[in-house]
Amino acid sequence: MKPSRAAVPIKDAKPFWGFSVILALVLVVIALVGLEYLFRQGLLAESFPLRSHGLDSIQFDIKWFKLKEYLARSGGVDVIFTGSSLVNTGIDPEIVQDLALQQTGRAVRFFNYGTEGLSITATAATIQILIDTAHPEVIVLATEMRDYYSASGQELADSYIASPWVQQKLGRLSVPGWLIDHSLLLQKAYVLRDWMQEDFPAALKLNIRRWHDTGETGYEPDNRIMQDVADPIDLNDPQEKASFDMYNGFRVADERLQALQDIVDLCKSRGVQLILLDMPAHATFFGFFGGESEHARYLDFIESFASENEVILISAMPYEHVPPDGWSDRIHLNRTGVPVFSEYLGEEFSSLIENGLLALAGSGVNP
Amino acid sequence: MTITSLVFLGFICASVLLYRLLPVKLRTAWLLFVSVVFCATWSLPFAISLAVLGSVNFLLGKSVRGADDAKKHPAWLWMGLLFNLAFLVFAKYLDFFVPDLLYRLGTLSASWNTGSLTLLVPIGVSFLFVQCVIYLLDIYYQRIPAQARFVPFLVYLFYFPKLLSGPIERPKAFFSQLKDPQPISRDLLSRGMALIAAGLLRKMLIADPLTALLQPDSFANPAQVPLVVLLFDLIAYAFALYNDFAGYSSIVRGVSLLFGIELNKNFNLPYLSRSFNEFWSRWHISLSDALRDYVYFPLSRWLAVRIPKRDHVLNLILPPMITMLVSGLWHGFGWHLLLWGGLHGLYQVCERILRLRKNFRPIHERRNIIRGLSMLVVFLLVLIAWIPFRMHLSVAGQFVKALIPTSVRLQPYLDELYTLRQGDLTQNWLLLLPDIRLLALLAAAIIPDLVHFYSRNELSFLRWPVWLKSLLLGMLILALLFMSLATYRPPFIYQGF
Repeated sequence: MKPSRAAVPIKDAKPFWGFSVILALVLVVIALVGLEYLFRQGLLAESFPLRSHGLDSIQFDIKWFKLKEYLARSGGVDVIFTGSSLVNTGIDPEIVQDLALQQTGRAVRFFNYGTEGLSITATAATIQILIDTAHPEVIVLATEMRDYYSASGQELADSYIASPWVQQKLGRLSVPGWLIDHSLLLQKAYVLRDWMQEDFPAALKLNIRRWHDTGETGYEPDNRIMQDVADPIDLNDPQEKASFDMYNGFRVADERLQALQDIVDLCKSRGVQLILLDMPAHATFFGFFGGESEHARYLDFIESFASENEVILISAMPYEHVPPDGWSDRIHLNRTGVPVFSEYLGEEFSSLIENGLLALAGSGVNP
Repeated sequence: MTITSLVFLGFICASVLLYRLLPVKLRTAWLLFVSVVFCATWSLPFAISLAVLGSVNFLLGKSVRGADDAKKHPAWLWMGLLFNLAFLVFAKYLDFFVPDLLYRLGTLSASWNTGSLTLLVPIGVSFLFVQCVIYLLDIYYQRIPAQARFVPFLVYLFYFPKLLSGPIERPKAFFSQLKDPQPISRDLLSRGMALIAAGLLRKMLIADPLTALLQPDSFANPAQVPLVVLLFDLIAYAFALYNDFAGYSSIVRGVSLLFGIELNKNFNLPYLSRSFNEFWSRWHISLSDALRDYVYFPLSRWLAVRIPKRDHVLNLILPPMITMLVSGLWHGFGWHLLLWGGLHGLYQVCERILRLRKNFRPIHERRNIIRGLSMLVVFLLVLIAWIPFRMHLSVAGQFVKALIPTSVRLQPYLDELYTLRQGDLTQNWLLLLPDIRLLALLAAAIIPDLVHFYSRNELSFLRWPVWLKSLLLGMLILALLFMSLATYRPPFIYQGF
């Protein structure tokens, strides 16, 4: 007769690492699901409002979630301003909207999606994402001379386009991309992922402040004032010398021109009207390129391009209209200069609406 | 393919599974295959140069002793030693000497691209050098027969868990395990996975954040960094280096256990050492043991034959000093590394001299307070030696000078204290103190060692209650998932050697 097997008390049983691993994994899943649920219920929403898609530019993410809030509130968007930091701190959509409503009686929904540091190559990808997500009727692409230099911002653009989330939004699906797009927990974790970098606390504080400073329509005011903006560029200043060395002489890089063409073609294929906007710059800015003659060459280029592609070009407002204390540097407008330029844009858009040139719903205009 | 990546995890799972499914006689070949694949993920030319190194050493091994193993051939041994030394010098100097040569050629309008040359240099070449030399010496001194088969020999050299940064394995023990690896068992799996978990904790949750938080100026422009911050950065560097290398060693030991091969333990609470003798039996143990057996003991015996008096000054000084200088050179051809080795040699010489005293008592017989003080003194002296290890001589000199609490260096603190006494606090006081994150990490860094110290077992947590193990493992997994999102991932420090 076989002896019965005596039960081994649990406390004396040999440790089975496998069971601990399984239990640990269960705890991990519970923790992840629990945190996801808590964040979706609004945990830390006020004190920690930031979310990130793992991009190098947290400002892009700020704009993205502000746009989402805008879409939820307004039921959609009609016109999105895109471009670099010039747009971010240079256009107040509320002023444009109010003026257009006042002059035309039409309530047009404007949003500012200017993102600092993104070159025209990265903006092309952004525009595709905006069209697919927000379904605007008009995209305004603000452009300026630096957009066409191949050295300018290319590394950031490459890393941005290669990121899993951007690839996901451009239609190249992946598990990481899907997770980043849908998981609030992951978006919060991405904000904190570089917690061990030396400047992280200061950067986090700054970004939270930037979130609160960025308005509901995406405009982020700039409070800086450049006192001596009217002075010519100083080649003894290392920063200005570096800019001069980089930009001296206007030239268009093929890949940048291609990016611009791609934007035109994309908008046409998606039935979205593209408007080019030449941003204002102080006259002294063109000293970096070699003077007003180079600026004139740029204007010839952009006007020809717009004409060949049958795209409306809104010319830059004359810089003299901006008060002397309205510049934060030679090309960026500050809180004082923005209302002047935004009113100018309001006038321009009102004119486009009245002349039936803006492809809004019910206007009958074919983009 | 770095060993903390998900790709490596997949690679391990597939390799181990197939290894265990294959018949025993094919397993060695499989290990060679996966090791070659691992090499090739770093660079294919790297794998090719390893093959050349392996082939030459295999043939030299057969030549060092006669076919019947009776006759020694010193000429072949010397040829082997010189070949491996030349390979090491070539590899070490490629990054150092060639750019200088190119610059000079460039002035003569010649041009040469070294990019492809650098790819030929194996990562971990210093470790390979030692293993090749040990192999040849062991054959010469009849500790092992020359390996008859090429495949096991190549696995000895290129076994992927230990390829990049050791541990340095002795051929006898390794070949024996290769021939007869441990069968898969619950204990083996438990220990293997526990070592991997412990290694990931040290590397990703302690070493990487500590390294990221070090101020770049501390090791480039130390005079610009406040005194207390500089001191804590040095301590943080010491713990970052230790946890980085100990973490790596733990991971590779764990991985190797899954194949049934037990690699040497490389670290055993080195910062709790009470003497330098003890420190070098606890820090980078595989290298220390190799240096002891192949440099220190032979040199001591050679000297003892010529100078029988044990406490003769040459017997006291030369063996430890030369051994540590060799250790410095092994790490790299630089004066700062020689200084590091020389400092440790000096420490050991001083210890030997102290032991000659009539009333000398070994440290383990002393009171706790003396033992504690000894631990502190050893740690501080090791810390000082890390200064030239980390930076070139000119910067090391500035670093030491910046650590001295002169009135100039203390003034900012005194100013803040004065302001505080007035009932006010400036914005600057935070800049004068180390980052709170660094302090928290340092506090966390000592926990694994304290647990090991009090339990006397690096894997004592395997015996903890299941709920506790699961909770800690769950927290570890969550932390690792979070850390995997970071943009900055410092490489393994010892991979550079």
